Amino acid sequence: MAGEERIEYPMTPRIVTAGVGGGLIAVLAAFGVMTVPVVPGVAGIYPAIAFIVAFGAWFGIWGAIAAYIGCFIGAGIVGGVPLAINVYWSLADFWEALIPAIGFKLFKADPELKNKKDWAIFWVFGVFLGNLIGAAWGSTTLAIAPPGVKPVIPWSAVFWPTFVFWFVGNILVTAIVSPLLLIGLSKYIKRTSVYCEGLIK
Amino acid sequence: MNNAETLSIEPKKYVRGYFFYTTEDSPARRLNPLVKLFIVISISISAFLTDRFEIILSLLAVTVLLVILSRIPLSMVKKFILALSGMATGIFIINLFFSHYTGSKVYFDFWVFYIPYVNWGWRIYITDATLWWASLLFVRTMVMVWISLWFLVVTRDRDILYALRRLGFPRGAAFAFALSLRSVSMFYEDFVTVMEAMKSKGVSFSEGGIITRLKKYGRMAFPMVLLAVRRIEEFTRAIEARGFSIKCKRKLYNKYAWSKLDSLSMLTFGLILIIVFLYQYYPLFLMSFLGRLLGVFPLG
Repeated sequence: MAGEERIEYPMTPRIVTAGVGGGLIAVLAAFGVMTVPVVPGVAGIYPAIAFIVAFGAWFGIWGAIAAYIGCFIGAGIVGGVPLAINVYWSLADFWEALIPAIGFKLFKADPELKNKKDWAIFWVFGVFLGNLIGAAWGSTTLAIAPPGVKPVIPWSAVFWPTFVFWFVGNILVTAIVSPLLLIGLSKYIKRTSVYCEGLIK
Repeated sequence: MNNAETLSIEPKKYVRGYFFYTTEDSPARRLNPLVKLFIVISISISAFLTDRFEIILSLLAVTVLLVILSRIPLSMVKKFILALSGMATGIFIINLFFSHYTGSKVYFDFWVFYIPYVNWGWRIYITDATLWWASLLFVRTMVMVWISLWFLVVTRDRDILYALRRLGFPRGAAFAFALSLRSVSMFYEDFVTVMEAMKSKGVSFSEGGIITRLKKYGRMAFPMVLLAVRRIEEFTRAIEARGFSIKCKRKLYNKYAWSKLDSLSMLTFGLILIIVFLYQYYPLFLMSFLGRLLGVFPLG
């Protein structure tokens, strides 16, 4: 910003972003899995996903770590996923934030969604690819368990209802709520010290 | 009871864990954080080691007993338990109507819609296997609900930091995780405050179609994000002012002594894990072992 000097903090605001952001996502994730549950840890309507995509665009990899922690606590612990599975299952939300983060940072898109290019990147990386990979990872890993441990769902329930509810529900929330967040708040977030211009810094 | 006796009764003292209050003299609060973590892992793994109803129901009984023995006031957690029981019931219903398991008896078979071109649709197909699976998911979820509740009530943020650091987690990761757990209760209160404020201005979250409702929730997200960003900046300044740095090496500030209760708890929940494993995978070995044990120590 012209005429203003941004104070660069080393790592502390990034770690705090991951921690506090994780807390916010955990509340919304718990709200989702408690109100519209499908199978343990999975919600038909998952309000946290709107924030996860926006956090990826704003905070880069730190938003993705916040998404992982938030999912681990809010959807995993509260939703009834065992710790041994929760550790790798929660990566689903990590991908759902990391993929839009890569899209926005790699193609230098503006999170304020000012032009067609920004919108195209939001739709491709935030709405479609992120949710596709996240839903595929999440529904598949629920059926995979460490040796001796029973999976949360059997293979026959991976596509229907788990993947379908996860993917369709997330697309709906991301397409409606995330643009509101990105257009309404990006200008403010970009002026703060927590905004990540790149994927890591 | 006379007046003097009434006055001598001191009110119970409560202390706060992550989300709820528990009595100050709760034995679970005195447990070493590593033992608390072990108990959660032991129950969590045990519930997923087996498909046998009798075992999972026994685990549910153990977790409920654990909550009662920890002197957690049920009146304070009943809303949470009811909400999570609702979640478990929702999981049961969804699996009843949306899952397909071939069983020996078919109770209900009906196509709600069918798309011939892609050979796909929604078929409600309820068999004895469907009922078995949905009930198993319900009971398992309840076990996880009770053990998560116990852990969140009797654990403080310093406990989590201590346990994760002792297990070798990097300081940044342990700090971020503990901060997340601590932020949950703050954001929950913000969430309720913002929702009530919007309701008082005439916004109804229960009216309109799904898109209208989502847009209402979207508007609610604004103050939540602004609060989060403000908190991140405040926390950053506060912890930097206290000399926090990821790179510097620090010792743990709190020390937890190992008590007899810790050893007893480790032994009990370690045994539960072993018994469930043997019951599921080596039942004959377990039975012959128990038979020999009863032979050495006859009951009658």
